[in-house]
Amino acid sequence: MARHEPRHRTERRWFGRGRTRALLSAGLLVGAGAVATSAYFTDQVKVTGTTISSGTLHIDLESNYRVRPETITNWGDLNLTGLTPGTSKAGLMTVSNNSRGQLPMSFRVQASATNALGAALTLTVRRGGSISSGTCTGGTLIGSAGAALNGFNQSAGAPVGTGSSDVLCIQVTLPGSASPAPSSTSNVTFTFPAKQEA
Amino acid sequence: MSATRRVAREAVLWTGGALGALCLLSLLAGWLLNVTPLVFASGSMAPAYDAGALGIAREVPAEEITVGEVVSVLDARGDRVTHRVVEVGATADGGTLLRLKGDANDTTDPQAYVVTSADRVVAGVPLAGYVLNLAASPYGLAVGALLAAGAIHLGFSPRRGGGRRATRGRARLVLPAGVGTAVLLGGAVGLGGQAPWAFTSAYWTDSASATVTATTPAPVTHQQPTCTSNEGSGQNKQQAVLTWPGLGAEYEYYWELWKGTSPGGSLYSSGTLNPVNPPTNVSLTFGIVSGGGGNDAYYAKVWTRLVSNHANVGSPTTTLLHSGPRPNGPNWWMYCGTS
Repeated sequence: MARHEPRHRTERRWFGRGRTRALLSAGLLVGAGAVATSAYFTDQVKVTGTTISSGTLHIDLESNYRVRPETITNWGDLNLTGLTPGTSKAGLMTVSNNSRGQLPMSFRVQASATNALGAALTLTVRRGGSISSGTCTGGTLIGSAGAALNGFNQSAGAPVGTGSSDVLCIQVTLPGSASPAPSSTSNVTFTFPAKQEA
Repeated sequence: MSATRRVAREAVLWTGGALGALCLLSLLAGWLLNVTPLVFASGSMAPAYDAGALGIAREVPAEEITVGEVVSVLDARGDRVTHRVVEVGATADGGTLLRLKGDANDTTDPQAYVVTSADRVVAGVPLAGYVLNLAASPYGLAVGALLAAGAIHLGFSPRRGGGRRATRGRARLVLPAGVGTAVLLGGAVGLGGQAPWAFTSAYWTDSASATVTATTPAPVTHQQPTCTSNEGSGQNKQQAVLTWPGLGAEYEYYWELWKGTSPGGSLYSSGTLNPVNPPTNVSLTFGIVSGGGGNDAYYAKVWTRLVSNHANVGSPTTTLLHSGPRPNGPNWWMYCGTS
């Protein structure tokens, strides 16, 4: 024992032998255990695996690029003038995720329309669909076909990856049972709220 | 022991000790003060809290939350959202309803949050969140555990070359047991939902819209009907049939049959015809009227009407008719035109 005393004395100049620090290190184990379990066994709070992304989310329509927020007035691909009862008009809308950084987004399709004419209109949206003689076919139906246009509010489904885009076939129908007055007008608005997805 | 080894030993002990103390302190702070570190995973709260910022949040009851504060809540899916309060409302059953919006977002969050308490962000450290995120990754956890194990080993194992041999046997048992206990303790804390740190999605939103004006055609009136004198079979089958192209579902047709010379005479009968879509024709048939014997002048007026409010569109059309004798019999029939 005595042989080693001098060595212990020299080590004491380095802030003791380190037992306190070693004990404190055990706190790391407690912390690691806590984080690991709450990450992998509790779904209440998502703890690890989060990606910190310093980008900006951009949902863009048509030719616009990274405009926040953007509005296309008088969207030209859907012509709703001179609607007579029993007719359908369809247009293709490209929805793009032009986010800076890797930000997958989900979006909803909302529609509103003013006046009595707007109340009579129905809407069918098909993601990835195409136009066939004024109606939308193929793709995935969003919500239900022929739903009331005013108040339409449906999730578009699977998220869109950064740099990807989706084509929505949008079909507006004035049902044959409707009897809107001649020279009626309605301002129809399609809104696509986007939300960042993990 | 060489100088290099001693420096390395001290480095491990100090790093492990400091980080371990930080872990224990944050656990303690979480329990005693309800303080939670938050990592901002996106820039939707920029510039106040940019992506990767570390926020310190303190849990407060819902009643204490006011508009303008940055709070962290859980959404319907259990994901954490940290945004600024733009509206505080109440639900029907007395709960608190929060509407939040990211500073960099143009729109408020699509859903409102019903809360009884929320974590109010009281301080923020830029970029520190990246460090915590890295530490909480599986890789970071492994490094932390190794560091802790190394520090414990260095702190408690006997010196190289002898000394304290008496404790060696005991250390062999106590060390693994202690390490195991620490991990299990942490695991229990995590399972109990008591781990104080949380990562917040503070997600981005954006919105795009397109508008279109929908119109219906200007009002139109029906054409002057063509009149056909139809000779059918049997009694009273000679009829005058007025036809014109249907205008569509938004129009109905109101007719009046007058006995006399246009524009005078007396109204004999009237009625309304239902909408007919093109290209189908509308037809209106007049037979001999009850008690309508003799050579008499009749005329039919037809108006185009809106289905929506039954209002007339434009002027009526007038078609002249007359009743006359059947060629080979005693009965009187209806013909087109004047007699």
